Amino acid sequence: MAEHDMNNRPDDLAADYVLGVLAPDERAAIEARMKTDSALAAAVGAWQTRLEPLLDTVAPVLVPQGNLDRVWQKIAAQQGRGKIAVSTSAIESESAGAAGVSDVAGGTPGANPAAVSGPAVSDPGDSDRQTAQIITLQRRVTRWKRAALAAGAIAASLVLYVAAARLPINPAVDVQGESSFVAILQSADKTAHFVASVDIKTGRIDMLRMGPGPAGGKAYELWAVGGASAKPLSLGLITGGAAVSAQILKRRNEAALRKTVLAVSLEPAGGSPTGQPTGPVLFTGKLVPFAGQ
Amino acid sequence: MTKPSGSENLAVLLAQTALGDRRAFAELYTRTNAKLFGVIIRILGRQDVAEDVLQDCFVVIWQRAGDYNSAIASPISWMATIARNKAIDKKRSSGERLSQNAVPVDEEIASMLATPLDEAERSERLTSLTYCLERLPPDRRQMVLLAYLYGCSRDEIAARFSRPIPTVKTILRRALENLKGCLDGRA
Repeated sequence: MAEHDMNNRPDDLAADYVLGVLAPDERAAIEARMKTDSALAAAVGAWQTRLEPLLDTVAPVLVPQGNLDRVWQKIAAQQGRGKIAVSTSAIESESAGAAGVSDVAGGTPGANPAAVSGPAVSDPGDSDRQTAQIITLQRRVTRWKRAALAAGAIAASLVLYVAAARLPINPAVDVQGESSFVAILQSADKTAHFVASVDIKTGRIDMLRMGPGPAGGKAYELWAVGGASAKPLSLGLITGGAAVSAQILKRRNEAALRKTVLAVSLEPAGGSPTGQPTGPVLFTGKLVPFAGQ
Repeated sequence: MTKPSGSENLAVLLAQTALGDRRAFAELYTRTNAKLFGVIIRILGRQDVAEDVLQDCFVVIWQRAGDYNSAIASPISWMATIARNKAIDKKRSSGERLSQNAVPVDEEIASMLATPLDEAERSERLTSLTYCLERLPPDRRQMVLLAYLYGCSRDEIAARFSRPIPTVKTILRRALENLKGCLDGRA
């Protein structure tokens, strides 16, 4: 213990941290301290900068294809578990920006933009946590707004900071066990457009939108195809790129779920009038079990 | 939109990632994955495990992009710290002790410093750092490089140099102090 206590000046700790010789708990303690201790954060930054040139001696290595897809799957699975509690799908850069804003502002009138027209899962008891999350997000937004302005980031994205601060927050869900499924919904040309993270236990699907929102006046509707039903079953409208209900899927066993495909069709605002897809099916993806961590 | 390049624009991509912009994140991934993969493989010595670690590294980058502060360090430094920590965790948790055979030979480290990948890429800062590293006694220089580039723990270094762990801790700190003095003197 004496070893720990003696001579642990901030600059030494920072150097140890950057060198990588700390135990995981010591490292976590430093990372926590850096958030409030700006001198320590600066010392860490200085050491990172001093040793960084050594990275030039490390040869880049080609990463096997498909690795980014696995990153998205892990992100989606964690998001489904509430570790990333902020629905961010309404924020898109460039041209998709306008669509992203309209998703937030022009969804179901008067309703929480995260809500869907299906049997949505609500969690009113979570409002404190949501407030906390929003405050955190706003703090980040302010900081990044400054950084982005300084760096001359594209003007279009600045509009979205306002939208970001008002983003719906997904109720945090804590799930254990093997009840998570993911699907990457792709267009015909194999471009990933949504990552769906399905939590069977809580009956919730988080949709991460990676491409533009629906064209003017239209809506994306999510369907379950195959598995236990001959006909596509509507899971709800994806209004804010947020949660849709998986209540229907809760009744299925794993074997049926493995045969289920999620599909998104383009429908009139308000959803399909017939209960079956009426517009083109734009994106599809197979449900696959996700073991998590 | 003009194609951003350089670290300033990696910072913009990180900013956009912090706001949940998936395309910016994908671009960030494209620009940095091979470098970070190299960093991870150097520490783990195995490609199969390294793929998984690289994924976890980018999950953390996605989650913590908002913590990045451009006033403190460059984007690649910040990302490399995450990659190195993930790789080091993996190495230590798998209980893989670096055997004598697996320890890179001293000549390898020396030649690596002498000839970086691409002479043209040899930055002024690397030249300075190499100059200052070469002024350290050889065993101290090796300890620093084993820790930073190969993710060796104090225990591993202690075993390799047959020194007590607290001594290694002190030696490493002295070495870094010397390094800092030398670098700051050249700046």
